[in-house]
Amino acid sequence: MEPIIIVIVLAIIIGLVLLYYVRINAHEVKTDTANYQAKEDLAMLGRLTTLPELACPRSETVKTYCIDLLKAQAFASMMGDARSGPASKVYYNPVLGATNITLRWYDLAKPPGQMAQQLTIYSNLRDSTRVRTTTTYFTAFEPVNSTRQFAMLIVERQS
Amino acid sequence: MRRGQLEVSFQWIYVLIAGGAFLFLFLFLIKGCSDSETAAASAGSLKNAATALAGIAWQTGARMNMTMPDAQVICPASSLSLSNGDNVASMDRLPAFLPPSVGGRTRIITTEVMLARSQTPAIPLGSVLYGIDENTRYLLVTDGSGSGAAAAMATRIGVLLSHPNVRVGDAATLTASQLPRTTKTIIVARFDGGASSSLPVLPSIPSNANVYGVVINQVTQTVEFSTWNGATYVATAVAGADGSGNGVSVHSGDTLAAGAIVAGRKPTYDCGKTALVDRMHRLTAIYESRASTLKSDPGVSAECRIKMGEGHATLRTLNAMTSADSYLEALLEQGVPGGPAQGMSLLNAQDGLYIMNCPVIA
Repeated sequence: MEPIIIVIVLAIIIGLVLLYYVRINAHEVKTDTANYQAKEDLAMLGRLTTLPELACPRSETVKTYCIDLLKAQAFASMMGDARSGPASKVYYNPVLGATNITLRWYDLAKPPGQMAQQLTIYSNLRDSTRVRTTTTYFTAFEPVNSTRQFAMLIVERQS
Repeated sequence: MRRGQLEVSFQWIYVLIAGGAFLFLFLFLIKGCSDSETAAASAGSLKNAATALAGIAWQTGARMNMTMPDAQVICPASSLSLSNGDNVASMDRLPAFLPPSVGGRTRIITTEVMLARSQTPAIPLGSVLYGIDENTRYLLVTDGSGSGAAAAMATRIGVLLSHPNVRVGDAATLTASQLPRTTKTIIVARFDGGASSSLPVLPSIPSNANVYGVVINQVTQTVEFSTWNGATYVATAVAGADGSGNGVSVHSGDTLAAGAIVAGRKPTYDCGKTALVDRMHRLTAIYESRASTLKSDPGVSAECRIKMGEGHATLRTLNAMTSADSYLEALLEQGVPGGPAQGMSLLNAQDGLYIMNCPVIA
C-alpha cells in the first residue's frame, strides 16, 4: 500500500513540475515570437518609408515617414491593373510580403464628415483570419497644392 | 530500528531514486521540445532577418545617397544583390534616379553598383566586376607575366573601379597578362590607395584588342564624373562583342559596363542589367502616372502644367521602350541624334519645375 501511495505522490509532484515547466517555456516562446514579429514589422516599416515608389519628393522638407499621395494612387492602380497587377504583386512580394497596406489620411480642409480618406495601396493577404495589424503615423504629401496631411499607414500582415 | 523498518526505508530510497530518474527524464524531454520550438522560432527569425536584409537592399538612402532603386536578382551561377547608388552631392532637386550635372564636364550617370553579396571575396580572373563591397577590398589579380605588346596596351587603357576609397591621384597599377595558351589578355588595374600619381590618361584603344571575355571593338565614350565624396573618376565605356557571343555589349555611359572592363560571365551581366531595367521601368511607370495627373490638374498653374507635360512626354517615351538596352540607352545616353537624351530631358524638366516652384516629377 505504501509504495503505491509513494508512487502516486511522486506522480503528482512530477506532474506539477512538468506543468510549471511547460508554462514557463510556452511563455518564453510567446515572448520570442512577439519579438520576432516586432522586428519584422520594423523591417517592413523601414522598407515602406524609403520605397521610391511611394516616397515623397526629395525636395520636400519632410523626408522620412512621408508618402506621396499621387505615387500611392499610381502604385495602387498598378497593383490593381487586371493585366499587370498579378505580375506586379509577384514582383513586390519579396519586399512587401503577404500584407495589406492601407493609407488613411485626413484632409482638414474638407467638412468633418469627409475628412478621412483611405486608399489600399497593396493587397496581398492570403488568409484574412490570422492577421496582425500595425499602424504607423505618416505624412501624406499632396503635390498639387504642396500640402501635408496627417496620415496613418496600416499594415496587416499574416500572423 | 527494526529490520522491517529498515527495509521500508530502503524502499523509500529506491522509489525516490526512481522518481528522480523519471523526473529528470521528463524534464529532459520537455527541454528538448522547447529547444526545438525555440530553434524553429530562431530559424524563422533568421529567415525574417534575411527578409529584412533583402528589404534593406530595397531601401534607398540606407547607407549612402542612393537614388537608383535596388534590385535583388538571382542570376545564373551566382546570386547578386545590386545596390545601385548614385553618387551625388546634392539631391534636393533631383528625380529619384538622376544625378545632377557636373558643371562643364560631360555628365554621365554616376551609378556606383555595390556588390552587396559575393560568393568569395577574391574575384577570380575574368570575373565581371560590378563594384566593390565596401567591407572587402577586391583586387583583380594577375599572374604578373606580360608581353611587351600587352604592357603597351595596358598603358593605353584606363579602367574604373567604383571603389568608395579610391581617390583622384591614387596610384593605379595597370598590368596586362597574356593568358597561357591563348591570345587573350587580361587587363587589370590595382589601386593601392594613397599614392600621389595620377590616373592614366585614356587614349583610343586599338581595334580588335582582345580582352578576356570582351572584345573591345571601339571606344564609344570616355567620360568623367564626380562621386559623392568629391572624387573624380574617369571611365571608359566600351562597346562590342566577339563572334562567339562571349563579349559584353554595352552602350556609352553605361557605368555598369564601365566598371566591368575585364568582363567574364555575360549571362550574369545581362541578368543584372535586365533586373535593373525591370525595376526602373516600374518606377518610371509610377512617375509617368503621377506626371500625367499633375499636368492636367487645374489646381496646378498653367506654366507648371506645361513644364510637367515635358517631363511626362519624356517618361512616356521611356516607358514605351520594351528592350532593356533601348531603355538604358535612352536613360543614360548623353546625347541622342536630334535632341537631348531622355535623362537630360528629365533632369532639365525637374530642375525647371523646382525653380518655378512647381510640383516636381519625382
